Amino acid sequence: MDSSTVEKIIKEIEGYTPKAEHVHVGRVTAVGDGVASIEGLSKAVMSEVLLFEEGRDKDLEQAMSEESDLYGLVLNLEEDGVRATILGETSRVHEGMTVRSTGTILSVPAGDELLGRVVNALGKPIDGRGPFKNISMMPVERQASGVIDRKHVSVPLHTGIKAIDALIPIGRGQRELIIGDRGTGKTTVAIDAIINQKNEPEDNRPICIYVAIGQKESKTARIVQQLREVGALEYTIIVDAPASAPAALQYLAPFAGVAIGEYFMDAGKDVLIVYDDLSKQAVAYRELSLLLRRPPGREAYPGDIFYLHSRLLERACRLSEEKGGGSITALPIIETQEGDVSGYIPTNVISITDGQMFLIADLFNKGIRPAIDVGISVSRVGGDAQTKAMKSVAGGLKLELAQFRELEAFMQFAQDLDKATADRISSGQRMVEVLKQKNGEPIPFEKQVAVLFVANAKLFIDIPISKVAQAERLFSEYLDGEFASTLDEIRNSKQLSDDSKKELARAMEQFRLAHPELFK
Amino acid sequence: MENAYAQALWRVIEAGGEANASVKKMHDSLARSARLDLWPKIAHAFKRLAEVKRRQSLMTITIADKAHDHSMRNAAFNELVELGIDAGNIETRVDPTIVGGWRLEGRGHLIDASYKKYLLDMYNRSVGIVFSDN
Repeated sequence: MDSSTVEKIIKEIEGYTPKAEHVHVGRVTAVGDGVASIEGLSKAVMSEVLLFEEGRDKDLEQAMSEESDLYGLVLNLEEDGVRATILGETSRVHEGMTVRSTGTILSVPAGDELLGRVVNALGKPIDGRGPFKNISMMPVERQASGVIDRKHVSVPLHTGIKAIDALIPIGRGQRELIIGDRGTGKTTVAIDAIINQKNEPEDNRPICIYVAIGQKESKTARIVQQLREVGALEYTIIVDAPASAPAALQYLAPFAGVAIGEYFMDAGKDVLIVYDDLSKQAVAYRELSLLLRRPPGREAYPGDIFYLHSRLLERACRLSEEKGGGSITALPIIETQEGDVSGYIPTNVISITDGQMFLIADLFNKGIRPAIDVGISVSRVGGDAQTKAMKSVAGGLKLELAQFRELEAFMQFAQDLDKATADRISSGQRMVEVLKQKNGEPIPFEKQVAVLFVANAKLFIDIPISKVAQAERLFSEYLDGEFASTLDEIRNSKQLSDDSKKELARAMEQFRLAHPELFK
Repeated sequence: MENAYAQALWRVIEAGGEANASVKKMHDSLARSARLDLWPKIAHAFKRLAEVKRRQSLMTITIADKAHDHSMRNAAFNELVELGIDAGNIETRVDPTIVGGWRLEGRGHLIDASYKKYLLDMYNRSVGIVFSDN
């Protein structure tokens, strides 16, 4: 400790005037499974933070060496007291313990310092890189912005995934659900979207927040490592409420994440937030509600489970220019059981969001990755946000793929196909190959446009299906080397001009000559 | 069930009902509906409720040393008057871990004027300074 710090401490001690502290208190009457019943606290309000007084009966030295403060959150107001969830270890609370009212609503720290950090659902750093210094506090529960403060979604948020950016485009301020069975690549899609923001210019790059709810610590650690390796962690914040965390923290984590996001949105920045996943949050909330003795409803979820998700996802929006023009784009994830999207939570979240992308286990097992079923996936507002360049190449793609799927089913029974049908199937098969993408390798938007342009122009039609992926990769590299200016032009103008089209056609011809081995 | 009966009895008496008459009425009512087996349970529930209410109405002053009981009580009493809280019965508890001063707790209030609190305050502020300087 340097001398200036010591001086500051001495000054602090000299200037300290002891003053009796008056607070409202209650007493723990029962505790179990993360929930405490507290008598008294007649002035407590909903969502108020309570402080469990652990230092009582401990001597000064023990009190000084105590772990961090233990807080609770009021969730039920009852006749003679309150029920609160314990935001920490239940074992630290005992019957008869004094509980202080703090008069504050739960808030989490937010600020630029959080970038690149891993925090828990209360915003406390858990990555061992020390505490935050200059931070603001943001309320975990906040009313979503009203219609007057909002602006329609018109700016694209590129995910770097061809199938999404072309067919189910996402706009900044949109809520797009990622839904599918376990192991179908939901998290991968979301993480790729985060990684792809690296391709955005720094002044336009969204801040990314990944909220891990009820996930294995090993999975979150792997994601952090992946983001660090590709240089995406510097603009990303991880909010972690692992499976081992109390249900209360798992329930709070998405709200903490969006509260942090609101700090940046209020500052006029764009934010991309991933909730991975809301099914687990719903389960945590169900557990909490049952322990709080709230009446159970369908599938034992409490009556306000819809409100839980709607009030969370409504906070994702695009603000008007008067309000700074910031936005929060939400990518909630829902895990289905055996592809059943008619479950209670999936239908709720589908109805709240502005579209959904279905990830199908069958496609995944067939090697079509990302395993997005473009036939049943939709983006209700993203079309307005799609760039002209992408619109011009993606226009007929969805229809072509839908027709291909129909013919593909028919093909299994038919022996002889007429030439038109056979061509359509052949083209569809190659388009499916073009839309395949390895995980962790998002593609910049201008390159997607170029690849889809040449795919539409049937560059890949003469290439065996097994070599389409290789040809696409080589063409991509070829563009980087020989036609970088064309890519720049598409990126900057966001349009596919006639000149660019001519250049891409030329690139296609030159590529054909440069790689004759790929063509039949 | 017995808790609801005990609560009801408590409220009737609290509202000015005569204790013996109220108890008899409840007893007769239970007898009429052949539920007298609840009677001992209600008695126990009432006892528990009375204990809770007693605890809720009680104030406890914690001091470090019995010798300072009188002066500490006076200081606490003055503080209660200042805050407009009715003093009522105040029990004394000796707890040397508070180092000095006093701490008054009860009826939903906590007034902490213990040295332990002051020292902890100072310690936490100093720790805050150390962290903010690093």
